[in-house]
Amino acid sequence: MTLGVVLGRHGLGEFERHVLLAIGHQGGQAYAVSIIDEIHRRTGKRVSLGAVYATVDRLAKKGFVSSELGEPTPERGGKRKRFYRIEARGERALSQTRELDQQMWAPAIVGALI
Amino acid sequence: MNPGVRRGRLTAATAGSNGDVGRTVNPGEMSLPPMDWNTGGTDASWMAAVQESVRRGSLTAAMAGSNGINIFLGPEQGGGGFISIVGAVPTVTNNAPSQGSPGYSDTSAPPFIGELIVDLFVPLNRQDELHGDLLEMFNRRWVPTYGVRVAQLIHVAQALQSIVAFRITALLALIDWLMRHCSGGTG
Repeated sequence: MTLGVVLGRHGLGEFERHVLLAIGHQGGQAYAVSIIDEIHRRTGKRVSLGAVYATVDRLAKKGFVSSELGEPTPERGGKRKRFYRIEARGERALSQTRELDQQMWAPAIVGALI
Repeated sequence: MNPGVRRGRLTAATAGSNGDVGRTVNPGEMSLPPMDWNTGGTDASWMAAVQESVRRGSLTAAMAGSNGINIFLGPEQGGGGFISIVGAVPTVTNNAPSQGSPGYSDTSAPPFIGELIVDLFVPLNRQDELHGDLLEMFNRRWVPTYGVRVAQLIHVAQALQSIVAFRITALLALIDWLMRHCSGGTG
């Protein structure tokens, strides 16, 4: 069975991959604002809160991330943060997507493109 | 107690080995209470006064390290100078938004309409985090970067975009469910 079939409709889009990687890099301390910061720091892209919410919800439905509410903090007006954590399934999806990309960027094709 | 500080005037001569002065500070210019240099700067009231002065913009920055503290003078002191105090001092963190940022205000608050949008249209279990995230972005990024007025507009726009994102997620789930069930469960 090919990787594409394994991933099926649980595959990752480009932005989903960025969000998932940003969550993974922060080791359980990722929340919406820190995900935006991480993506901006690594890619230079500014993304909106709405885009991040929609994406993490989608990732949660696929079982790639889990979330939990943190404690209220004064700098956020007593509001809680929702911390996201990457799950084993999400890590597998990332590595499979990377493998799929590498197969698509196989030397013969890259040589022809460049 | 440092006599230079007690008199409200520091010069290179009075600071001696305890400090190096980049600019003379005249009496009344600074409202820092006296500090005992020998305690290593553990006087909490002195540190609180430094932080308050940074917040008010009297000082543009106060950076501490293991070897001492540099206090950069702000507009009220004419700017441009600094006082360098040698010796261990507790960490001073400048959490204040930088002066000169457009529209900076101590009293800037997110717009009521943005908060209302979240209250009305976002599911109850997600309101807390969205309020917090919007407030953090508002205070930490939008106000220092764009000023209060533009930041308020961005706040409303982002609140709207967020509720669309929440609704779209629900709508997509419904479409997904319908497609799978209407196509005979093959989806």
